[in-house]
Amino acid sequence: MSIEVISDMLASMIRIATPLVLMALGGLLCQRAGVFNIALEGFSLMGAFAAIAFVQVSGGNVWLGFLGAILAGALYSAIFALFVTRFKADNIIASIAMNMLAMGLTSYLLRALFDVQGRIAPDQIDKLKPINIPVIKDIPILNCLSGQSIITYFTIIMVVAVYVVLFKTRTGLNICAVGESVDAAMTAGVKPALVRWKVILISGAFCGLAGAFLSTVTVSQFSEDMVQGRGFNAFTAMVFGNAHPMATALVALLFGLADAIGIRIELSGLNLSPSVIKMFPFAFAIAALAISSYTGKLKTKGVIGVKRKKERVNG
Amino acid sequence: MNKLMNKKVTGVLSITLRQVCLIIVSLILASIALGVSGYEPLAIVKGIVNGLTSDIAGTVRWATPLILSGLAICVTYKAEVFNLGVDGQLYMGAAAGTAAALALPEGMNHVISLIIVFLAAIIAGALFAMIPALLKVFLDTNEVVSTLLLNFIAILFIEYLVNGPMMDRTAGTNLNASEVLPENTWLPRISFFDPSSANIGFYIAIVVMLLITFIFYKTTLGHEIKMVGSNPVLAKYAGMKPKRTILQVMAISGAIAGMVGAIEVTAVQHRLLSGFNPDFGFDGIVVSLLANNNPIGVVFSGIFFGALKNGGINMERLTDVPSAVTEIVMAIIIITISAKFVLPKLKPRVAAAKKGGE
Amino acid sequence: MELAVEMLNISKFYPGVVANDDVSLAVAKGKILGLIGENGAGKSTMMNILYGMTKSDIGVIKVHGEEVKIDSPNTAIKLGIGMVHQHFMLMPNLSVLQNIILGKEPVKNGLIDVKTAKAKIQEIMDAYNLPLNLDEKIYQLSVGEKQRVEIIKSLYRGANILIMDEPTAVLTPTETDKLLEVMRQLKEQGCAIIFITHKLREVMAITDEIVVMRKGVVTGSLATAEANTELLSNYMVGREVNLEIPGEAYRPGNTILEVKNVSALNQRGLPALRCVNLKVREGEVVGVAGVEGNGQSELIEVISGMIRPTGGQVGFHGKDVTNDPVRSRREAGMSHIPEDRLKMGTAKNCSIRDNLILNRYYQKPYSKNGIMDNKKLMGLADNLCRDFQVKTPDSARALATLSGGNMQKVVFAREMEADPSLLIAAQPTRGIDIGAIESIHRKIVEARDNRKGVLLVSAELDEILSLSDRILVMYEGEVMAEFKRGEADERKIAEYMTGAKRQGGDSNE
Repeated sequence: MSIEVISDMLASMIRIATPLVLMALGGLLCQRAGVFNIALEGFSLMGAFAAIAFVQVSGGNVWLGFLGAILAGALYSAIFALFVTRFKADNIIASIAMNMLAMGLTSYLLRALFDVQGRIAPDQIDKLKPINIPVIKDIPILNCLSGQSIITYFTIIMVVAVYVVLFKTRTGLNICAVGESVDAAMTAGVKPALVRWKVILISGAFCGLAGAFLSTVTVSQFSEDMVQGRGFNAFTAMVFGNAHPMATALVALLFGLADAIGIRIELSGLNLSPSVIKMFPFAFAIAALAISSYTGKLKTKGVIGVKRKKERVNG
Repeated sequence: MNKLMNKKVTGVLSITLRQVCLIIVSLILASIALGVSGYEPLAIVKGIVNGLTSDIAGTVRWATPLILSGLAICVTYKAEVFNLGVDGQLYMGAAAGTAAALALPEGMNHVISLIIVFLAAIIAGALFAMIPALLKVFLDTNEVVSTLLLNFIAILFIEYLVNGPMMDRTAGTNLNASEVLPENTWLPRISFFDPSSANIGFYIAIVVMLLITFIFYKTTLGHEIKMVGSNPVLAKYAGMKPKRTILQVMAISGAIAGMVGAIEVTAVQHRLLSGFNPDFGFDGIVVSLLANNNPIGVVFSGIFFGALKNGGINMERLTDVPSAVTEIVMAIIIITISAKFVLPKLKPRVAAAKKGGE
Repeated sequence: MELAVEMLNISKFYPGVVANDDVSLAVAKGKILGLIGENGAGKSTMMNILYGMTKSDIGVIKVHGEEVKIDSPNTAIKLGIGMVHQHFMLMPNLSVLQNIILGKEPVKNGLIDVKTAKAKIQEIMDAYNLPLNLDEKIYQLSVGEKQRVEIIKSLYRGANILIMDEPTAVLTPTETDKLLEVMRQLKEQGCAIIFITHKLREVMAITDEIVVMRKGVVTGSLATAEANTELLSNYMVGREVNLEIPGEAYRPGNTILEVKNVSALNQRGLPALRCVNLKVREGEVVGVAGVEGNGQSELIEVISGMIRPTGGQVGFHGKDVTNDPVRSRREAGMSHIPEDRLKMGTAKNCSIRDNLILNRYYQKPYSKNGIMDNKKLMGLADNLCRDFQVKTPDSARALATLSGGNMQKVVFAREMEADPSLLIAAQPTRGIDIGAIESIHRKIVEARDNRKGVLLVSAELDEILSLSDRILVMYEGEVMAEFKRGEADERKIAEYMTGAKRQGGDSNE
């Protein structure tokens, strides 16, 4: 396999992983605050639709598309936030509802707003050119980092930002506190409901942007159900990464790699059914999930999933 | 004793009343949305009414898989297990049923063929459900995520089958489907409802409901499911085996899901079609939630949603209103149900206060 | 003498119950007030009001002479009131530092100023002798250390009025002494302390004034110098309580339970039991003394079958049951009253009946081939309710409709109904009022007199001393000592409880 092919594959990996990382970051923040948010799928779908809608309406302006997607994602996630904090709705059921609603809404709006069914490609779309970073673009292998979309670079910055905020700022400590013990947080004067609203809205914004990436960068159209389970893969990446921004981003990259390898295999003409290739990321996800639960079981120090058992009192 | 019966009856009535209110609220919201978008506002309501009167056939056709999916969900829900993988188990059941049907000799007895096909589907569904179940029991893997991921794998697997090993080679173009199943493996439709694809699967659904009800209320397994769902540590301490119970409910749930697949393939499509499953699994969640996870209620809930779905399809065909509205209605129902849990929570707080502050 | 806090004529009503009825108390600067009473007496409500977690319906609070309205913990904190909760409000996976500064982090350039925070906390730790490693995570700390974190939390926020809610409930005698020292130091620095406890000995040792509450009212308010434990018990319960229950002469019979060289790991995978040996015979109560967390829970789990040991054997009626499932041990005659009855012993959203039939639902004649005879089960449940005085009009109601005391009765009823030959009682009187403690102790003695064996695990030394025919002391998973009734007193046992001493040779029979 030549260096170029490797470079290509790595570049694909980064491209494919971008929306995953964004979604996973959103899920991560929610998880840290004790909100089990698997509505990432639905949030992103709304963002994908909104992006195309705004592009269409503005005659091709993708920046408006991005903005619209972020707003749509955040607004949509507000519904989730309302039910989960104010009405103490079960996180899982509410997530399922949000995912379902997104599917129905986008399908419905396609018809109601644009009078089409199934998919819509905007009449005009001024896609952003990929950004070439001067020195890096000539280094073999590393040049996979150059030539990516601006959203990708934004995502990388966000990974670092989330890390800093979560571990080095007051806001981050409040988030972790609410996730660890609502009682402890309240007696310290932190308002859990407020913190949860914040993280959910941010996750909505991130997912909205992820959706926009899917519909305006990866392809140039919106089609029904186009998120195709990526939201769940992103959630899994977060679980495997133990809700730590760096680890999560890494795992999401691996998911991207699984996908990229799959595409390579398809292109190389090997006689593997495309459906089977598409299974790669999901199979990888399940393996990741199983491994992480196993190690979590060994450690008992889990942040995720494992119901916190009453702290054993030491002598 | 009479007092208790009255209490139970009033309890059930008040819950039913709550659910009916929810439905009304959701329909109102949906109708407003329709009106705002320029469609006829009452379209969806008309569709439902239609489905319960003139087009009962369609309602029965859709109620069957919805009731069964609802039952599959309520079985695991009682044990506090979230089986979101009904869709995937359904597909695997369908695939196994198809494989069995295609493999059986043509002239075989109708009833026996059907039994074999259904057995294959049930076993396949149950086995596929065992994957997340075993992961949960032995590795503590969260079944919510694992079942969702497995769904996608199942869908892709069916895609692979109908474009590969099970492809219909007799057809001219690629139909993304298997060959048509031999007639001796077709599940009979209800002739009264001709030409609808309403089939005797409906009766099967009722039988399954009776079975589940019996299990819940009269067997030791049912008691164990209830206890494991309520407090697994207590269950273990009392000598039950929560792990085994979880495996049991997942197996039952997967088996029922497989049955849905078998019914759809043998009675409606008469072949294995890629993507034939319009997310019955998720609909099943709504059905079960609306029925408060009570098997008998699931039947009524399933019929209602059957009417809703039927209404939506007819609505789209006859008027112009997108059938996606039904999904929206269902989502609104779920989210309002999950919120409804606020009110009952107020009561225990007051009761706790009654026991006296410390 | 300046009064730091005055709570005057406080009344608090909940639907159907008066939690506080015209209660008044006051603490002066540099003094410690003991606030004692049974569960449900109203002391926690008073403190919740003082700390702003709830509001009184009638009454006035004065802090340093000025009338104040405390509507939230934040307000209380600003007024200098700090609360050290009984159940620690800590976040296990975060560090000591993070737990202390939460809500009041010093900030520089948008980021938390760790250096400043550490410096300030170090000052406090030095001033009051509360040493801690600030970077350790909470789950790594001992109970005594966790409590120190709670105290520092309040001091970090400038508290000079401290509410301490049952702080010694989970401490070893040594740690308790250390805590009392800290309290003396705080007192000297001018703090006013309200000390809630039910341990009369401690109240006598450290407080200056005492207020006793019962059923929402103050039944006694006196200077510690004028008090003694009998007087205080009287105020608390309204009558003389006799915890000495006479039993028959000690004539142990056959060995029912034999634990040989058992070792086991705890939930974290760390060793919890190391080569433990013990025997329980017919007609005897074996008491296992020790502060919680020294392997007692794991010992019970191994004996009852909830976990498997990593080494050793468990023998029941002469048969090796080390790897037998829980159910078969129960069927062979083991009953187990769990230490956290409400968490582990009951299913709250199931019916009372469901909770009562747990041991029997699958057995003949209540069920056959997996199908239950609901009528017979109903009869069983109703009989049990009657025999054990569980107050409910109907056993089909949800368990959650019962009061806490009745829920406990359900657990006892269920376990005793099985007519066990071995009764394992783990912390049987925790969270139970003095009045009800009597009846539970009576039942234990009864069981023993009926030639049953009782394994009593308790952190309450009084209980162990009063009930046990033989006492084993556990520390860090080992049996440190064994005594017959009368051979040792509290002080002596305490020495072994803390690991300071170990009985020479094995503690074998």
